[in-house]
Amino acid sequence: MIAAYITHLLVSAASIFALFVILSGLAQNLIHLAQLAVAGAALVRQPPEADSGSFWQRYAKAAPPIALLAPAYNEEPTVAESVRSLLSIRYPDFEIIVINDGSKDATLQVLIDQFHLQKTETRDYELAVSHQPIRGLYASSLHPRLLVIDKENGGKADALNAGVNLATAPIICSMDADSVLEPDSLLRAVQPFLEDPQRVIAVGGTIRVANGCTIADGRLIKIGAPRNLLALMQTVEYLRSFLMARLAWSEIGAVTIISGAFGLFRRAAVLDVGGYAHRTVGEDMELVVRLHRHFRDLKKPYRIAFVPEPVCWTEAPESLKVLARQRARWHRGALETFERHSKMAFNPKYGSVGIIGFGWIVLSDVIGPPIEMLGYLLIPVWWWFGVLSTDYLLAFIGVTFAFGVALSVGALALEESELHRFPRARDLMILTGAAILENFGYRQLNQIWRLKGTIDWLRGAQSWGEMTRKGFKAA
Amino acid sequence: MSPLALLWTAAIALMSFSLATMTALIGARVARKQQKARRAARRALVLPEMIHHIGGLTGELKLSGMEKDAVLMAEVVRDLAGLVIGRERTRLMEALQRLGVDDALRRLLKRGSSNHRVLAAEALALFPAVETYAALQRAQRQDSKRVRLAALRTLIELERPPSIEEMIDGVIGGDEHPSLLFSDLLNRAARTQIDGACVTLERTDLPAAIRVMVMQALGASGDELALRPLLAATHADDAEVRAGALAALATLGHPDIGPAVEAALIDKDWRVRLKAVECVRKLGLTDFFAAVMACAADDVWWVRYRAGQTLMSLADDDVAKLKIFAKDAVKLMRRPPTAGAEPALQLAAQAMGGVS
Repeated sequence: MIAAYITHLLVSAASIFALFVILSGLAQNLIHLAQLAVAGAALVRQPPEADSGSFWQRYAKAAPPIALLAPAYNEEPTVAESVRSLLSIRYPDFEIIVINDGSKDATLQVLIDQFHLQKTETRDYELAVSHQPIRGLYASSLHPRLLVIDKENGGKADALNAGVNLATAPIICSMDADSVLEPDSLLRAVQPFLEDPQRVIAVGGTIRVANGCTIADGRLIKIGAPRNLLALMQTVEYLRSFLMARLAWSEIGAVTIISGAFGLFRRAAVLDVGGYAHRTVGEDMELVVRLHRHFRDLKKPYRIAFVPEPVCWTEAPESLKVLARQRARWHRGALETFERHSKMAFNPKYGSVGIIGFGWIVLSDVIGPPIEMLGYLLIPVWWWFGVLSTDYLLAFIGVTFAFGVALSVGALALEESELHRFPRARDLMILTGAAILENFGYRQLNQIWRLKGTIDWLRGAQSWGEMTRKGFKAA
Repeated sequence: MSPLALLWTAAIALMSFSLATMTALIGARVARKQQKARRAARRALVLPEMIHHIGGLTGELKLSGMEKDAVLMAEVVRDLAGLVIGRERTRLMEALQRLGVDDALRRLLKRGSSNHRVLAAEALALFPAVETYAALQRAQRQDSKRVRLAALRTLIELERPPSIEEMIDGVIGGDEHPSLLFSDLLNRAARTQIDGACVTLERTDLPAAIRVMVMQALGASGDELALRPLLAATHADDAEVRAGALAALATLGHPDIGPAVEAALIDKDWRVRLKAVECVRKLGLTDFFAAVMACAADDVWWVRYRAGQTLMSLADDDVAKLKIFAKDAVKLMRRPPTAGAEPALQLAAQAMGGVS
């Protein structure tokens, strides 16, 4: 009698939970499908302009000045190459502000030696947003576009705030010192500012995995698929995230994140909201959400856009340990932002950002990881107890994986039909293989790391963790 | 079909569709690579032939049927058009017209992809003709803003711009955006239509941003006729318009702008004071040295910053005094924006001592 009752309870609980998992998965997949369709339509309507020579002719004259802000913390192995890459950018009027955020290694010395920097007292600035004290400013007569700020350590947001204060250009570009921008990426990214100067306050560009590419003197020489399996999976993941999700959200005005590795902001708008927020590891997302909130609260017309063509190449972690830390940190950042601005969630006052942008965060970041992980844990247990039908379990897993593959392939199709960044057909075949393989292990690991991020967030953790860099592969 | 069969069918269909898509894309990639190689080869044949013809080395231009490839022709013509002038340009244009290239480009402008239509609009700059003007004017009514701007750019290059009034109407009531690209084209169009730009500025339905755009165009024209409407705009109620007028006057560079700049240096809005200081710097108006010094103690950092730069650029004749000023000006400029102006003004007065 009791056994039958327990079995009945188990079956009911299993059914309810299974239904919840199925509905949550179905909702996520349908949203992904909608993203794919919207992104595809956007690329067809406004196809990228491939010819960079004519691009310069068309747009350079109207392009406004930009200040590139590159915070560097213990970037000794890669900082010189990254700065060389920045100096080689093709843009009519820009300056590079590298912010040495109290590095413990020889980052500053490398910069001084490589670019013949000297301490300068002639650069004035406004203390418009707060940051840790500046120890010194360095400039070079050989590279008049370059300015290096040496400051006390305060984290990435703090370093960016120092850069915002020192910048005099109306547009700032936040980026990572270990990334490589394509030569015409700034001119491409500034397009929305040229087209809609009254409303556009921020623009995000695409981040891609540089592992497998050949980079020399800070320039991308040859694009290729990574040889490391983990980096290969991340390549597919980045394509899906940028070409599909961000482009689609941009189309409906619901972009909630512009990657800290490459984003353009109107300096005045950043100052209006008080600069980058301290005490968060998701400062890039937090700033974008705060901008939405500020402009919506004041009912001021604005636009935050994403442009797929400008590409910033970054080194992806090739070890599970480093990748786990990075993903947990990203997830914690998203949750911190959600917590700070939870008032916006599903609030019609905030339009598409509140309903769709935050709705997506709830579905994919807040309840997604625990539900999926619980599913992975409980479903085999219930199957073992005979509560779940093996046939249906296998069929459901099959559909889920097939959907995952279809979405990754969809992102690859967007890349291949409009952007053509990978020069060899062989690379496409490798990436197709990765799109299939990532469903078997990598995707599940990702959920574990995200769950770790949730636990860190619940514990109130603040650390960034170490990010080990190998440096780019030379030509 | 049972739910189980439905699930498996969906899974297999999704996987098959994905793999078929990727196979097709890889196939398309290989085909595109070959097409690209063929186009490069054809371009390598066409370019020397055209260059020989431009140099008068060949009689009739013979392109062996490649003149029918409108995209190839548009690419080559656009690249050459910027390099060839005078008699050679006319010879090339006439030869290409005999081959019907201009017709092909006009057709491409009508029916190509948006990137190809932009290319065609740019290449048509080599073919001034009634049909070309009509085709470009039609293109200005197309959906793609890139195509519209490219057509407008070519019409301006061909000295057939629409009137300023029409251009502004396109922004206010039409599909055009008041973009920086449009602003650049407006500047170019206004050079030959000063009267039209002055009349447009008098319109009362212009939003401030558009008014500023028209004033910029007037300033960039360098025409004396622009002076009066711009001076009048420095008295506008809207500070954005006053600041825009000052910026335009700085670009115009007329000697009679002194009183307007003097008044703007003590305007209640910091954006106007900033533009006035920039105007002093740009035009080297040394008469306003003392007034700019007062701006070095402004409440707003940007005004102080630009005032400092302006003083540095103006004071060639009094370097010693400037050095004294510069030493303490750093304190002024780094002062937090929330602090009151009074202590800064005192500091400035001490630092300037005797400078006037």
